[in-house]
Amino acid sequence: MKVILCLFAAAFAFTASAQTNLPLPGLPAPTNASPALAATNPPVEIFSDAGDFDLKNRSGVYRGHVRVIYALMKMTCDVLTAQVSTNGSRPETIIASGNVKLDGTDNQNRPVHVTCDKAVNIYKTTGTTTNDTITLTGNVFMESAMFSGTGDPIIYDRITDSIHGENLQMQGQPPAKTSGTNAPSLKLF
Amino acid sequence: MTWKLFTSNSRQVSARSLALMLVASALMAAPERSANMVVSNYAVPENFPPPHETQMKSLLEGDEAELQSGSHQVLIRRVKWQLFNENGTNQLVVRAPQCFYDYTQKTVYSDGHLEAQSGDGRFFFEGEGFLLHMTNQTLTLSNRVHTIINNARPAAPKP
Repeated sequence: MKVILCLFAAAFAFTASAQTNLPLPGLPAPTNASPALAATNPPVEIFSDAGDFDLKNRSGVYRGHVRVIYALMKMTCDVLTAQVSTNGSRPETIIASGNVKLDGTDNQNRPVHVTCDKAVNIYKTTGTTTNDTITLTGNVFMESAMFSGTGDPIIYDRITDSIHGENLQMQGQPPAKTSGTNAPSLKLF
Repeated sequence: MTWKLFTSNSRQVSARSLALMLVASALMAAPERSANMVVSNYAVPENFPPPHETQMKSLLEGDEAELQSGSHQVLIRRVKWQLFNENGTNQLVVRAPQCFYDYTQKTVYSDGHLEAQSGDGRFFFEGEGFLLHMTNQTLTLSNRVHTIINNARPAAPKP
């Protein structure tokens, strides 16, 4: 699951930077991405029915049949919004909402599928503290070769590389570094 | 005699009237002709407000521009709109085959194709049908929006 969340974040970061035309920092490389993928740095492509770009306020909104394609990952949603801080060099807030679907592969090229109502990536740096989280909410469902289940919300902390879930109902082997509530079948820590 | 004179005068008046009508028609047509006059190398620069007033903020250019009669619009062909940072570097280059520029509203729009590339060349997008508010720097793409974001840094776009 971390793989697809990383890809999700990577695509998000690209997307938001695209809105603002800011000089991008390096792509936040997925921690589990294959060396080949990291070496080739495939482009991110975004398709949508329409788009609104606020160049002054560094924000952008893709609307209608939004498709984000990055390597083997594909995400679809109704609306994709990105906001970059004035002094920032990467997006502070990225929101995919409405029928969010993510399809990708894990580090063994097995399919991973995630659906939810809303996915939010928040990146903030305050002094020496950096927060970088991805939060999935609303009818979250995840399915992979190793596990499947639901939870709401499910929060992936990219700094600590850990996943926290609430109202978890999962079957199979849980992803590593997972914590949460209402998930008696999972080994939590 | 009077009749002849009248006739003669009448003919003269008619001739003068005809001439006047022709002149009037020409004068009436003249504004329309000048309104539709095609101008080459059309350019609309805009600078930043103080303290960066010497730096260009944006530059709208066209190979040809045609003032539209009865409106505040200019039809611009082979359009390029550049957006600059305060340090003078290029932030964005927008190109379109043609568009209308409303010089009172400071808007640029078209139902046609638009494509844009960021100054560092990493970001490209295109779409069909657009509305650009130059003052607010907002751009709406109405149809078939396609964005490509490259991680590697290609060469900067041609100025």
